[in-house]
Amino acid sequence: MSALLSIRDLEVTFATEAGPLPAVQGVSLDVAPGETLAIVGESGSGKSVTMLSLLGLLPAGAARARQVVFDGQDITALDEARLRGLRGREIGIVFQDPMTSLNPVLTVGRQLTEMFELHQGLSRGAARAAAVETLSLVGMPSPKERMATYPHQLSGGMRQRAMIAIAVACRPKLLIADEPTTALDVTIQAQILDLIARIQEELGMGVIMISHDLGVVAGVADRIAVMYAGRIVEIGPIDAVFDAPRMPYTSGLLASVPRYDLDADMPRSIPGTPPDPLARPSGCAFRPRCAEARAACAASPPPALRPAGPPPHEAACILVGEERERT
Amino acid sequence: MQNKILAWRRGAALTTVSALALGLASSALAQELRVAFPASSEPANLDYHVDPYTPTMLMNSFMTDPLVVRAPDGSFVPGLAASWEISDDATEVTMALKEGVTFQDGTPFNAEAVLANFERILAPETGSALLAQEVGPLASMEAVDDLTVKFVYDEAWVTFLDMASKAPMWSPTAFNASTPQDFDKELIGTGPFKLVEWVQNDYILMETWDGYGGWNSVSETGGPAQVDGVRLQFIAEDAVLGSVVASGESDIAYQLPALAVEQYLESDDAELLSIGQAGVGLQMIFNVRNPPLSDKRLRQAILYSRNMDLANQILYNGLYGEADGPLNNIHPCFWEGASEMYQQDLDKAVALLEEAGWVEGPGALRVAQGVEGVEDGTRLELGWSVLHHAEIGEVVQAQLLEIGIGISVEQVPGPIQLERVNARDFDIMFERLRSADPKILDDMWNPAYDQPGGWAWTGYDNPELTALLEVVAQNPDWDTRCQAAKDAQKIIMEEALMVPTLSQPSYFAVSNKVEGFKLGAQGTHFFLHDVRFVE
Amino acid sequence: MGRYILGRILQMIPVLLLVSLIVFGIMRVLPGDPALLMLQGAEGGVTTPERLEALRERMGLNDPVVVQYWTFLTGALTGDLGESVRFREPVLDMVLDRLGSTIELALAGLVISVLVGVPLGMIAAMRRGGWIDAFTMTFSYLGASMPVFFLGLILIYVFAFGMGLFPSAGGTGWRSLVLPGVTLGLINAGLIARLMRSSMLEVLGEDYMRTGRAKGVPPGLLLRRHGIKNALIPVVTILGLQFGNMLAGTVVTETVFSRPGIGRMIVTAILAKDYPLIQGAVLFLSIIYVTANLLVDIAYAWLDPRIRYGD
Repeated sequence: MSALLSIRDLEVTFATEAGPLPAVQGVSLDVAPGETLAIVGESGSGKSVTMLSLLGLLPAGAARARQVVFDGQDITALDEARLRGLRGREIGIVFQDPMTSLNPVLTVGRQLTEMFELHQGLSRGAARAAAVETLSLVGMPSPKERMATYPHQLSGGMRQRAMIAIAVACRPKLLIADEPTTALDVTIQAQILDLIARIQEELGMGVIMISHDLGVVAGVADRIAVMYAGRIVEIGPIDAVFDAPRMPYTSGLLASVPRYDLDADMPRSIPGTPPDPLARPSGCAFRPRCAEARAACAASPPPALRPAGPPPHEAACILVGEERERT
Repeated sequence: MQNKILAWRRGAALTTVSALALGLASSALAQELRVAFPASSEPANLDYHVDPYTPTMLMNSFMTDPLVVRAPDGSFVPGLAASWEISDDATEVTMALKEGVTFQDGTPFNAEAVLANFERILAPETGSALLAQEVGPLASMEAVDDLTVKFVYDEAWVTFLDMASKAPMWSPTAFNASTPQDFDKELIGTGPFKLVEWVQNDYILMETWDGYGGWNSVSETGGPAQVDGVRLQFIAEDAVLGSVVASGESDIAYQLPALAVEQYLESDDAELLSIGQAGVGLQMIFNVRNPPLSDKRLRQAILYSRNMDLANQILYNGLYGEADGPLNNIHPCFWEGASEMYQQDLDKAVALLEEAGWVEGPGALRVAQGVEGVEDGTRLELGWSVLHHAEIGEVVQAQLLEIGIGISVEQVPGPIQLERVNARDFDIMFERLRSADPKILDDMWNPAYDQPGGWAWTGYDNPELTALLEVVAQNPDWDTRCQAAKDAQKIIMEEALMVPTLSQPSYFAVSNKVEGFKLGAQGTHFFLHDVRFVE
Repeated sequence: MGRYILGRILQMIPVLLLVSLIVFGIMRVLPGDPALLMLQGAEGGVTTPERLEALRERMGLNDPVVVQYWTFLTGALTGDLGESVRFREPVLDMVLDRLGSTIELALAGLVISVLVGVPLGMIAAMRRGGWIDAFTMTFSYLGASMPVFFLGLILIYVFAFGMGLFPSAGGTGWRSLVLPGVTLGLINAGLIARLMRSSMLEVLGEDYMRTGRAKGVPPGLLLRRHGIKNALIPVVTILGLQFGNMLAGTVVTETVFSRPGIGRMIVTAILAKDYPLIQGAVLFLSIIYVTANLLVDIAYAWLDPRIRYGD
């Protein structure tokens, strides 16, 4: 089955006063229809930027990709108007903070009916009906009354449901959720994650879930990609990655998650901080913090990931090469 | 070509004005005469009985006639009174009224009406302090017959005719049906134009009255006016007033500001008229109560240092009038001797200064040395306070500086001027009164009027001068009064009680589309009775 | 919302009281005797001290200051603002006669400043760094530094005398409103433009605009439906202050354009020390200004649902 989304060698460079800032350096990944891919990484790893660039939401000229194929179509060559046609209709985004991501002076209903009017050409009345239906789809209580409310009148969880409603209104093929639960309480988090999973199944969407929280993605993702310093450093089925991480950064991440079920000491944090994007170390960017660093790690960049084909579990680390040699 | 543009613009403006005026109560007048007035001339009350200001009289003169008219040549000619007789001792005046005159509401004009008008002027409710004073100590007045009125005074009242030329005659029917506060919006007189509407701070609209019989003997046509109406537009901005005739927005401009005069000197579309205003000119009064100005020599030195011809040239292209003494040069009772006194003579000025104890100081100004009442070493600095025309002061300032006298020129608003005068807190103060009658000399130099509300500010008391001034005020014979006025001027000049500067003429711009415009004897008066449009 | 409005109305009272006190106090402190000024206004003729004293008595100038203030205040509350000493007409009537002219001028100025300033600020924000942006900044500096009478006279010379399109004086008809309205409007448009620009810039960077783009909303619609309403909120809040600027500006504008308004009336009244007229007129203007601000605050509350449904 061909991939729903296929990115090859995406690079995003921002022009700043201090010089060009390479936020994303050569990212490639695939998403299959109906699958949930999690992208995890610390702040500044480039995970959100990757997704924004996908939809052309970054300033012009910042992103460059060799190839991005969505639903069988190469979208790198699309002009703005065509790209706009994809947004909302084929690809939906749920942003992190629903309080700031929803327009404070428009009602929830208006922000929702807008989707139907724009993308499906529905009349006001039909759009309202569809909106009410979508609100109940996302589990919003009293959907009819909610139509006339303003974002600030809703609780955090409700707001995010509204956000999700907007994102899935037109039954897009791909849903991108950028830290959808970060701004919410823990109890609500679970509800929202369940909701996304349920909708995904109902609508058959592919989902890209971006998070810095491994615990969040553990329950929902099929595959996981770990990003560090603008690159994907490990990618594979979630169980495989969690059980047997191949990159020291991944192991470090896993070790830093507090686990109640294991008889372990305090979680261990990874020493150091992610590098300044303007001044990344030569060779492997993780090297300064890596317990397994070798001299060779500084000399040259880690081996590139093979985008597809066996094995499905890849890591950009010299250790993989060594392991490969051993087998 | 320019005329065509002007005509087009004026036509467009008139059409616009007319079209818009339809929405209001005012009527749309086709050949309406537009006269631009400075906003400062707008009175608080349009009825001269209540508010006797000079512009009010002018505006009233369009709507009604007085008993007596001051003709352009300054003489008194019949108005609503056909003839009159004044007794030799000036205590009795008998007036014979014109026949066949009616007010604009049909009320007949007769002796009863005249009495009613005077009663109104004198009535306390009307509240006209000044006009009542000008009427004078009236002992009695009666209607001898339907067309004859007799006024009897307690004492000689020599300014009766002057007052009669200013006091308007209103329809008693009309003012009895109204109040002094409201009547000025509904004035009914005998004049060529009838008041339609007064929008305060904006305009006065008058329409032509077809029943006018040309009773003002200045009028040549002897009948109704030849324009359809008159709009007096009040303009608050000098620069705009200066250009409204040139731009075609107005037909006549009254009291054109001096700076705007030049553009009309060479104009093909409009005529510039100017006339002096008899009075005291733009004079400056010395406060002689205290040192240093109590010393006559200092005052004379100041007079010897000025050159007003030069100031006139520099500031006004020579267009201003001469005022060489306490009365300006066009005043009927001007004393010619004033022109020869105090011709600019800097040596003489210096000699007087030194004699008075003002010696050259370390800086540009002289300092006192042995001056009575002044500490040695004090610099010679005086204040020169004006309501307007500060530029004249600035020229004098430069001239005085040459011999070491320092004056600082300041422009103050009316209330401050009066405040300073009452506190006697000034050195040299502006004071201008305008009238063709020499009585203003009495007002200004008679110490009896040295009190709040009075016009005698200088602080000088000389029985000889006071005696002359009383003659000016009370003697029934014009020539005697005039001669006394001249003698008074001589004393005032000898004592150097004031600084004569220049006289501000009245400028009018009259469009060439208009004919029959007549200036009055005073720069503050004109006649519209004969005005017509020519094409 | 109702409570909000009521609270604001109640706040008006101490403000107006303070204004009346200040005006009253200032006029009493300034030099000049109103009775004397009134009698001596005419050229020629003298006044006797008796007449002067009688007038002072009639004007109530001999009463203690507190009594004078109390008389004025109690009168004002019943709608009787006294009588002008110079015109001898009720102050309220005189103010109402001229009120229309001043209000229409202030409103015209406000409307023009918004019509010019809002689009200018919007475009400057959207084309940041472009020539419109630079022009807008220059324009607003010019407006802030140019005197009203200067611009007014220029407009008169070009459009009234030069082209004959509008009258140079007078207050009747819409034609006479154009030049003075444009004068006031252009000078104050700069402030609105600057504010709109910075507000717009802020809005453009907001998350919900990004959401809108992510939803596939076309740029024009995004601006109109999502952006402008938010960007206008700060601008609306200063409209009340702007109206105050207009009212203040009418004093000079009414003189330059010879319009019969309250501003001009107050100036001449000050020179004549016509206390009742000054006090009554200034109090009236204050009421208008405070009311305008109240209306703006209500409009603002209505515009921003966060305040409307705040509680």
